Amino acid sequence: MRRLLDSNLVFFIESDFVYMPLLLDPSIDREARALSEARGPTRKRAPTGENIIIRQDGMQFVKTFNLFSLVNNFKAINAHEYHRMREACLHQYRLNGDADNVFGDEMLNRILFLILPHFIKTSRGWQRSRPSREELLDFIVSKIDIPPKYVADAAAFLDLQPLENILKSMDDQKPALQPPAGGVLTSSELSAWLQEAVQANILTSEYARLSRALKLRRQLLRAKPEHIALFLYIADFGSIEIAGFGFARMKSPRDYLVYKRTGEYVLKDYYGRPYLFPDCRVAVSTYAPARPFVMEKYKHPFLRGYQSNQEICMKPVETSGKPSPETIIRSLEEGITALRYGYDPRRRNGYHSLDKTYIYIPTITFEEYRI
Amino acid sequence: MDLLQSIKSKRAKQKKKDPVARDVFTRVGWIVRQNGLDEGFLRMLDPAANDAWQTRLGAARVRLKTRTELPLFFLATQEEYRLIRAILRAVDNPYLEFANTPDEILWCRYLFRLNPAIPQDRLIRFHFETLVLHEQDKVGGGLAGVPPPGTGKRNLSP
Repeated sequence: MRRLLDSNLVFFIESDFVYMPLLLDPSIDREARALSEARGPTRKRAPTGENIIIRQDGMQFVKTFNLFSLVNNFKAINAHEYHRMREACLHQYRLNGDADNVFGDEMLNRILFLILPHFIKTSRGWQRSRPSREELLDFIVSKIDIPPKYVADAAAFLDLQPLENILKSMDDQKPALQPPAGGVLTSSELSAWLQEAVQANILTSEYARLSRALKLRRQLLRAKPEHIALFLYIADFGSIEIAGFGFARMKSPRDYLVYKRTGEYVLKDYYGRPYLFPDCRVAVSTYAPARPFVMEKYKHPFLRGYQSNQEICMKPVETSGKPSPETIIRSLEEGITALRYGYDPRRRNGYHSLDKTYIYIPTITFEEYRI
Repeated sequence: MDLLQSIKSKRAKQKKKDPVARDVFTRVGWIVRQNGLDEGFLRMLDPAANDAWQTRLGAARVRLKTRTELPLFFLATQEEYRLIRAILRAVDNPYLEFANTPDEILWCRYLFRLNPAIPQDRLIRFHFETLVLHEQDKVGGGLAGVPPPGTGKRNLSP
């Protein structure tokens, strides 16, 4: 598309359709002539967009694509350019950032309100079987040192006036998407029109987003500012950790790695000699089948090598599609149990054994962990 | 051959892939685009100008055939299409299918007049100017109005 717009071609516009110069070979020429003869020489061309071929100033143009189809699908056609134009447009209206999306992030809500309570134990224990959202958020806020910047941002977030002003100004300036005037158009003119049209399209889609954001913020007016600050903090950093349990956002905005620390633990070899294993994080992703793995560079009889992100050798938890909170909890627990209690020194199960066997093939050794 | 084998061999032949044949329009179109030819080339194809151009065949030389990779098909702009059609009208002979350069298009008509039955393999392997020299040597001085080329028979065996 970029090559087309950067070319020095001349286009013809009729009824929102782009007609491009017709390229010929003998069969196309025959078809074009047949088409022209079938239509009849005397019939006047009506600008309805039904004409396949248009003759203008000795040139022939053939019907190709609809201009509005190009504008509506520009994101798929030229993702890089669309992203650049969108960023410029958002910057103009101060709409950058991901703060609004984090409140509607379903996976984040599941992690905070369904998975986290399972792994966190308060000093008094939860008073009821299931704590309320408010209680949970209060607890998390008490455990995390949120920088004052986010508390100030939360106050600004709940101030709806600027957002309402922007929406009002966009209402006034919202450009109407007008097709270019029919007739011959150069590629530079078409390119300029396309820029304007895509910008108008972006603004329309962002207008909807902004309206949604305003609606959401109105709903959050009764929320505590420190809770809003917590969500803004998560939107920026993408991760928190409380008492060995934590999560980290992946590159994709609504996918997370949920993890739990094992703490230090001791395993014994065939001869009863103890080995102290260091702490590590056992994680499960929310976007793929729930298979627990160790995030750090780590070695263990149930890990194939000595590197990071190794899957733990165990029977996988049955899931279909994205894992549910229950599956994630079960996978994490089974992963930690496998590392801490799964090794049987008599059977020497797993990829490696802690002690050197009679037929010893040096692979991974655990001598430095011996105590 | 029994019926079963006959059917099998017939189907095998049907399945065999044939290379796509490039037509003469594709060949001439490609030459026009690659060499940026314009209406001026048509003037060189004019019979009078063409014969005068051939008189420049002075020094005996064996030119190598340029190898070209033709596209499967050729779509021309309207100017190119007009030019290609004009060339096809002007040089209407079967040797045009073997021309690889504008030079060869110019030699095409004269070569056909000298010998209309040159085998295909020679047309594919040798430049038309070389073939003209060879044919002129054979007829001993060429056609009327065209000066004889250099002396001696030329051996075209590779």
